[in-house]
Amino acid sequence: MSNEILVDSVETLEAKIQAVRAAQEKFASYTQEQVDTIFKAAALAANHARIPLAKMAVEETGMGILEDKVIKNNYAAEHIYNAYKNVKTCGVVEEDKAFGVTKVAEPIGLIAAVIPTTNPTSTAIFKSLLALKTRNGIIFSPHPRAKKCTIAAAKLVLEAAVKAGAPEGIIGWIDVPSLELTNTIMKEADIILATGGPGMVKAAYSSGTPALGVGAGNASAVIDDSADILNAVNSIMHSKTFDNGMICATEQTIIAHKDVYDAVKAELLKRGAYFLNDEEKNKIRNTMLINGALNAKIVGQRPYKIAELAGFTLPEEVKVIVGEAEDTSVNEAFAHEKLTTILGMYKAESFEDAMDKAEQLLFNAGGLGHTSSLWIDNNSAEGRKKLNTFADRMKTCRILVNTPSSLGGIGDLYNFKFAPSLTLGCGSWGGNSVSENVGVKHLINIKTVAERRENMLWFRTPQKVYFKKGCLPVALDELKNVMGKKRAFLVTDEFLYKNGFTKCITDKLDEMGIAYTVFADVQPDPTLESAQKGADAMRKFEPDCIIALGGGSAMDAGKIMWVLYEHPEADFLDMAMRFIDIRKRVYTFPKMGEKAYFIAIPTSSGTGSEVTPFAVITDQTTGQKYPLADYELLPNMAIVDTDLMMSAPKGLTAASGIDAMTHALEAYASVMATDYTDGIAIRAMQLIFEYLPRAYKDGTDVIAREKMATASTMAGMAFANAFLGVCHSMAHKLGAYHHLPHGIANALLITDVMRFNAAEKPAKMGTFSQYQYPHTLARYCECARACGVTGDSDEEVFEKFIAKLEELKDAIGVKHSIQEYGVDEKDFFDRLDQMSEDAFDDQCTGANPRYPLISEIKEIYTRNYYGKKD
Amino acid sequence: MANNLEWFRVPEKIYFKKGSLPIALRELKDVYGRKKAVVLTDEAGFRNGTAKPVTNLLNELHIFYSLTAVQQSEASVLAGLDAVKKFEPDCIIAVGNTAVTAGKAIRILYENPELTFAELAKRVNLRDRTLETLKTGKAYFVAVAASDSVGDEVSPFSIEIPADEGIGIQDYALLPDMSIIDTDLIQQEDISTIAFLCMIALGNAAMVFYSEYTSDYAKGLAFRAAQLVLTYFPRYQAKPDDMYVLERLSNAAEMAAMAFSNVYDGVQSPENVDCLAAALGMSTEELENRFDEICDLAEAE
Repeated sequence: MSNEILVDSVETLEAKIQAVRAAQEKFASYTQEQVDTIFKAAALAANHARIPLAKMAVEETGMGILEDKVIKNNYAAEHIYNAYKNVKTCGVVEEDKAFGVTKVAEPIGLIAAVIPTTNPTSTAIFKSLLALKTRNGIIFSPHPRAKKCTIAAAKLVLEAAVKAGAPEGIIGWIDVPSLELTNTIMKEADIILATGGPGMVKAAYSSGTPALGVGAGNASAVIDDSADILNAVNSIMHSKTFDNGMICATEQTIIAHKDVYDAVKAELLKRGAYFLNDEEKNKIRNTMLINGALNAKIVGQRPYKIAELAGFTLPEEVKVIVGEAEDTSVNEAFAHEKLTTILGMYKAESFEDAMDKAEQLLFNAGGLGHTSSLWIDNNSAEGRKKLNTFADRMKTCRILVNTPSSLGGIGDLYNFKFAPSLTLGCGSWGGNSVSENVGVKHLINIKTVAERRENMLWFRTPQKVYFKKGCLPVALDELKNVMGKKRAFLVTDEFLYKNGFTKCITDKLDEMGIAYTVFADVQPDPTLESAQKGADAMRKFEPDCIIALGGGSAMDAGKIMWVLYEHPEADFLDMAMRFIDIRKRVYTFPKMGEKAYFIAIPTSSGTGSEVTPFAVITDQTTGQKYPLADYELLPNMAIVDTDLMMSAPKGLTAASGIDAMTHALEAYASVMATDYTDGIAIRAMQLIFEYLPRAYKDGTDVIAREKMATASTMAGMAFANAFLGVCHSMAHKLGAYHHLPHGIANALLITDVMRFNAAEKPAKMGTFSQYQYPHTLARYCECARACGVTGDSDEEVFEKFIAKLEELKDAIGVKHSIQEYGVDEKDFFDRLDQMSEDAFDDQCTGANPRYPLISEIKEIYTRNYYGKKD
Repeated sequence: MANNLEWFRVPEKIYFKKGSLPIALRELKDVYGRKKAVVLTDEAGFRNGTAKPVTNLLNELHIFYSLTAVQQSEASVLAGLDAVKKFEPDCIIAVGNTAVTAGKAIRILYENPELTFAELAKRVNLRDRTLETLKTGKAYFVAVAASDSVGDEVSPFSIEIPADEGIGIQDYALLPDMSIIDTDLIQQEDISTIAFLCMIALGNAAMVFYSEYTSDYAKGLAFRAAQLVLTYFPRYQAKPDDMYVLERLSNAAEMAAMAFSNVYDGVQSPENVDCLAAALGMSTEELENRFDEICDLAEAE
């Protein structure tokens, strides 16, 4: 059996490793229940043996105090068991059904555990219990000075574990430790738990195996002038004398504020400390450090023994030796880690000075990352402030407040949310990969199972959408009767203003006694400059509502002015930055509506801007267009009154009507389309097919105008939520570069883009969880069939749908190519590359079901420059 | 008065998808900074923990809450109102049909202390908009769909007053601020529940096409809703654990409710499926048969 392999050479160690690994392979499939039974049995057995093991440790190492080692063994068994008895470490350890995430725990494999001579049996118990709870195998590399008691502890735990069902030989050890064997096990293991001095820790990290190391400690107990001296001094004495100061977290120095220095000293003396005189100090210095390293002979010894070694005598009952010092550099022996019953003591001029000294000690004499201790009145406001500063400054991973440092640092004795452990991580400062108290979570691999989920989607629209021929004055009623508004700011373009379109609004405002002013300076492609002017005017007038009347330009300009008016500090570049997911964007749009209620009234059918969260503004200095998109820009109210559409000239009717059609088509094809937007988009398409030719032919046809107005707003609602696609991206740039009206630009490209999107083998698919596979062909056919197209196959229906769209375009006078609109050939092709890239970069591209390559965009532009040859 | 004005009004935020509840509800903290919530459920939900997905999240968000059971009755609304007045929440979250309908009334009464139940329940026609001046905004109202939901999350209707005319409390001020439709909260194994949902959806869609006050907005939504029911209900019957199908059906119910909320003219029962059938390209008989099929399954409990 594997227990009988005596490990005293590399060969025997290799054999042992194989045996433990074989046992661990079996262990890896144990259930939580089986593991917990074993865990409990092992803890019980270790606890039962706390005294014999403690005796062995003291006898073999010649260090420490039996009765304190008993506590350590008891703690290692009891507190570790208690902390982890209910923790899941096997199989599914976490499950979030809503998000579809499951975490599954698996063991790491083989742990190499290096055991120090200062806490041999307790550390062995601690590490074996952790290994058992996490289904890992473990092989101990004992310290030569403590090998007998370490192995005894390991053997005991192993026997109890096997008896409770663990596989034979799950715990192993090196019987005759040597540097070579330690290095071998460190290299071969899957993880190293290294407790020891800096040299050993460094070896662990250099082995190539992941290591959870510890570092040297050099805790200073800073005693603030507000501290409870009785509590502080006695805790420090208790902590320092525990097992003769061998826990790495223990206090090594005291830094006392000058105002309490004498009181501290007095209490220390009262309770059994001895303050060295200068001669004795030097003797101790020379004994403590041999060639700059800690003298092993003084580790874990009582003061009288240390004095003996140093060449003077002290009474046996002296509990702690104190050496007062001033120098915090590496040259002062009292500044170093002592691991025995010696304390250095410094006087601080102020709290700042105390922190400075504590830092210097860590940096100069070692101990970075380990532990700091602070004694302070943490109930007072001032004390809490100082505490926060201390916590901020100390580069240590345990900052203990008003607790003994050794017994406090190991956790769960003086603070119960602090994980109990005998392996204390020191973070990067100590060259460790862990900065907390090591526990079960560091010894398992967590596998995360993530199941596909779809992004939450939404349907958002202005709170109030009013429509009908003649509804404008009725809708505006609310401004007074419901909202109590007093000052309205109208935004519109010059043409509309000059031709009296604002009259119906201003008359009504007059009737209601609402003051108003009109800003009629909006240009097509509204500019930042004009928006600034408008915002300035708003700031002067201080309206509580804004009414934007017009086509897309006026409504967009109105929205931008609204933003500038309510948030002059807003940065356009940030607002206009591209996002993949509108809910995850980096920029948080400022909250709108705090000063003014926004009403959008379209005069064309149309951009749909009255119900969308979008606005496009041009920077007149660079010609760059900024598309802003955020639901904060959604108007509060939209009023769609057919009366305002009646006089739209043919060209406008055609361009805006076909724009609405592309809105509906792109919203339907979008990767973000939902049932809600689909229903609305389809209806819009049906209406446009039926009524756009009528409205174009006879602008006085009220029904046709009304239906087009509805269709435009509905298409707007659809794309306000489902967004658009690459046709609009391309139309935006075509418009920017070659000044084609937006609707016409869309019209020229849409059918070709539809073919592009409908490809069953697209070069690249759009990335969005709910868009599972390319099926835009089928989607377009749904639209087609809803619009009365029939056919035997999807391909046939699609072709007929394209034809139907071309027919519509013909009926409203859309030309057949970009060239026909007077765009110069040389100019077009000279700038085509840049235009294609810009189109690719447009925000609308992201929702396209087929993710376009820049070259593909270029192809579409090129083809449609020349148009169809039919 | 309604003659020269038509409208389309739905809750400002309608969120949906399987698993959307924790994401949407997070806005209570991240966007609205709410600190105290009253969570409403029906009696059964109160006992069985229907609202656990909500309350667990409120704990995570450190939003202090009180859980209250309500019924669809005047007494319960007033009792709920009392509980809310004592607790002084800055948001109210109603889970499930009963809680949503009662919650709407409770919320309005809470925000308008001078308003009495009698005034609220006065027989007003939704299209007359007389209660427009009711205040909202103190307590953010979130309606969460659950198994018994049929679309009240997105409608301006509150509880039915057990009386003659069959008109319940209704006003656009009753629209929730946020509606959350998360299919994880809808038990899909119970066919009668899903059949009921589809029955209501189809019925609402039929009424939309039949009503004289209908609009294209409503028709667009209703048409699609009806299509979804007719396509996906058979699929649900074939495979009741298909969450994708359930999602489509619950969307259909919400869409039909959104449509109906904007044409409501007081008629409660679907008199006539003619118009809907014509729009769908089916014969009236065909549609009636499909409808009856679903109704039968809805009643069978």
